[in-house]
Amino acid sequence: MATLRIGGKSSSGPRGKTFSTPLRKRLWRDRWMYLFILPGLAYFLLFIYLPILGNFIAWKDYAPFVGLWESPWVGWANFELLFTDPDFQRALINTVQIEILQLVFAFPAPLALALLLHSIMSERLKRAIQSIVYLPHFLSWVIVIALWQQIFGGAGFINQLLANQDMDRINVMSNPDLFKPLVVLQSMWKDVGWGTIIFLAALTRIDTTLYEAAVIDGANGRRRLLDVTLPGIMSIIILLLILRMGSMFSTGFEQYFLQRNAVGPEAAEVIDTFVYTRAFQSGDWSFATAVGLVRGVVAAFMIIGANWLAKRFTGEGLL
Amino acid sequence: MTQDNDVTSRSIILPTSRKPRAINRRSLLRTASVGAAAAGAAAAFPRITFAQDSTPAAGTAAAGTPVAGPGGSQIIPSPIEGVPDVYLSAPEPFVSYDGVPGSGGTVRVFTIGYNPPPPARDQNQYWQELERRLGVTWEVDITPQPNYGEKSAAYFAGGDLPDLFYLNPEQNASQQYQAMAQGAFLDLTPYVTGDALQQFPNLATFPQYAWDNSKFQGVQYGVPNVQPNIGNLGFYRSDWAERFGLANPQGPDQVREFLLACTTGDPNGNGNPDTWGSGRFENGWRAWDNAIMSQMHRVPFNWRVNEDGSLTNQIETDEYRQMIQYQRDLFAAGAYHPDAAGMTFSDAQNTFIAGETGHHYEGFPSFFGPSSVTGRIQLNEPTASTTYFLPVGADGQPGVVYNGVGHFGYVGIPASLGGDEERVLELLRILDYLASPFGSEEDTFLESGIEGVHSARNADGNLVLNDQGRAERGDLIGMFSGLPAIFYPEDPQIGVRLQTGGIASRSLGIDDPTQGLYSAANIELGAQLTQLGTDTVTAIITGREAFESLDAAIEEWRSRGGDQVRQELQEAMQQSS
Repeated sequence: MATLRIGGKSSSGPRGKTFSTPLRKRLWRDRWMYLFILPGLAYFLLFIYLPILGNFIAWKDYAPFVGLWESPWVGWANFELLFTDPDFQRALINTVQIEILQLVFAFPAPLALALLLHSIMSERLKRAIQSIVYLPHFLSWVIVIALWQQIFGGAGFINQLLANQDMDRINVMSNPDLFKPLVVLQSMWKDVGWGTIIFLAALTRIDTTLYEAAVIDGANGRRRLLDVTLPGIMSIIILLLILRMGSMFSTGFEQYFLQRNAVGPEAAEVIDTFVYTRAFQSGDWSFATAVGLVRGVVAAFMIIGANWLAKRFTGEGLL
Repeated sequence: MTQDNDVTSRSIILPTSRKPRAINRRSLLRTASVGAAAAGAAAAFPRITFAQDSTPAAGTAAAGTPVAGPGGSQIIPSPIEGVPDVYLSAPEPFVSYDGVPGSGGTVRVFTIGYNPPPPARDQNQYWQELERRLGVTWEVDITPQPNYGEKSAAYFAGGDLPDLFYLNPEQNASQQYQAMAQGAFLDLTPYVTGDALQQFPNLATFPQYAWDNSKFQGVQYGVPNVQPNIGNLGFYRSDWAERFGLANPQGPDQVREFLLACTTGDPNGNGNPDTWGSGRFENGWRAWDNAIMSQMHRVPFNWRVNEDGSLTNQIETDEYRQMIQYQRDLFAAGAYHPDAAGMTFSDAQNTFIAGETGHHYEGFPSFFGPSSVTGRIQLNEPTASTTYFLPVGADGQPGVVYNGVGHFGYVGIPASLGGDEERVLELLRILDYLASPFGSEEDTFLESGIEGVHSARNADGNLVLNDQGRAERGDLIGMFSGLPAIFYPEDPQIGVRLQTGGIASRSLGIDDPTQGLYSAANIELGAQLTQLGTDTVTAIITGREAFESLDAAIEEWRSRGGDQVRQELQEAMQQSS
């Protein structure tokens, strides 16, 4: 977990000495570590950095058979399309609304759950609960939505119960007004358990003597939380928050695509579903690339901005 | 996910990752026999009851009497092109191919997959035998349907195309149109027309509709995977209809009465309100159609040709508006399943199989035989029965049925092989072998593998594929087959019913007047216009938007590309006439 070290700044060591050793020697000394890094490095070079070069097709009208170089240049046409399209604006607004809801509700949820889990004394019970709450993460969205449909759908368990009692059905799954809270709840149900892993790891790194000292000083549970626990994992929270900023314009695809027909595009068209219909179904790779590029650039600015803010106000940051 | 480009073919409208069953001859039609005039059939085969025996439209449906077929079989020949012959007994295998088609080299193949990948060659007796018979190394890339379009694009980008390239742009691969237009594939016209075609005796049996409908921009870029040319019909629970006293519902009023009775009449008798008239699953401007709705209202097949030669889109017609209003009323009255709006194909199919809905539609043969949708309902409810709605208009006159295109894709050869005539001939010979006629020795292998390994004889002496056969064959040759035939080894009479239904459907069939015409705008904008259609009709039918919003949506369709598509199709029509 390299991120833990970056955030926690625990990997220091005798820095002065390290730098006085020549690079060649240091490489040789840590050769095995570098060897371990290689596959990961190769992965990033090959599948992340190299494809970045392909972004130039955003300025082309790319047709696979014609080829990368022979396809005609079209200037900024693909980008203009993006900013003049009313459907894109709708998708953008929905995406940002949903992501803000996610940030406010779904982001802190694993932290809260982790704190609860952390306070369970019985190791066995804790592990049992952890295993159960991890499970939904491994279900695909297709299954998750089918499950929700079975329970909350118009012909689902709850509505069938109501209908059998001659009561009116309640419309949850195909109600555009409820859609946004619904997707946030689905995300939380699916991933809240998984999200606790990193917080729990951070929590175990807090020196228990700090708690003991706090208790001796008369700190109650609330004070221990505010003065020991949270400061102890603040770097992790900030780190995750900064990284979260990078995905402010990506909701993911499946969850929305699967439910889009039920509630309509006014509520459920997000950038990912928009790109799917506009670009991928018609084989318009250039347009898809333009959207991806804009999104990537904006995300990069969001991360840098969030990092700057974090550093300014808390002294903690990613970079 | 598959889109029906609402302006192109209507018959391949199929849902996500699904091959139209109607059209999968190898696995279904062949495993599947005759309709005498339905009334006659009912007399001759007492187990068959057709609700539509008495429909006025069915009057035209008259099949013949059994005659001797190839290999000592008995067949009932179809009186209509596009509806296959029915075999009442399996032919004695006869040799139909002389020699070995291949020259010992390697043939690279790209095809679409719907089944789990077959075991590797060294553990796959079917694959080994196939290569021995074809005389080539069969190097096949089977790509699952959801990735089929992307993989095609990857091949186009790489430039090195496989020798036999299965083309089916309607399966989520509109990029293939682009590549064809840009010259990626060889024009096969000189090889598959006139005297040249006689070198390939099996391909020479292919009906003209399959060749015509598989052309792109008027050019024959591939050899069609021939299918019956039957339009789909909606199927309903005839046992429920009888229970309601509504047997053989005809016309919009009776159909409405039936669908509502499914919701309110407690057809499963459990006292709970847990049944409905219909689900839905389509995309586009007929997303809630389920075949019967537009058929009863005689909505044009994508386009109507006016007297002055101009085109009117289906959505611009009065018939279409009436249909949408009809469906909106149905929804408000509760005829549709409450979760219908979000249904996928399998959701809609599952609710029908589970006995939650009284009406469903998919490929025609999906409703015939023990492993069909009907067979699966009967596993739970042995007395369940299904039959098709033959569309009748509000005026009591016959409705329309939208003919299928009569092929499921076509196999192309890359343009880069154009200079090598020998190679092209070899590849076509291989396709010719794969198109061996039903019941021939060659076809028996292609169909059922090696007897005793991949298949065994049932009590009637017919070969039935076993699990190993299904696994090893997989989609190795799924991209191509010969002339469709109907034969159900487990009960040939099922085939008789299927053929009768096919003839009835075909007798009401209309064609898309723009079939085979090329519109660049349609390829580029089709997906988003289809999406606009789904969104519009779903909002109106479910009552989220007022009916009047249809006008604005049609206006939007025009301005976002509909008019451009119309213009291009009109020009293409003038050129071709």
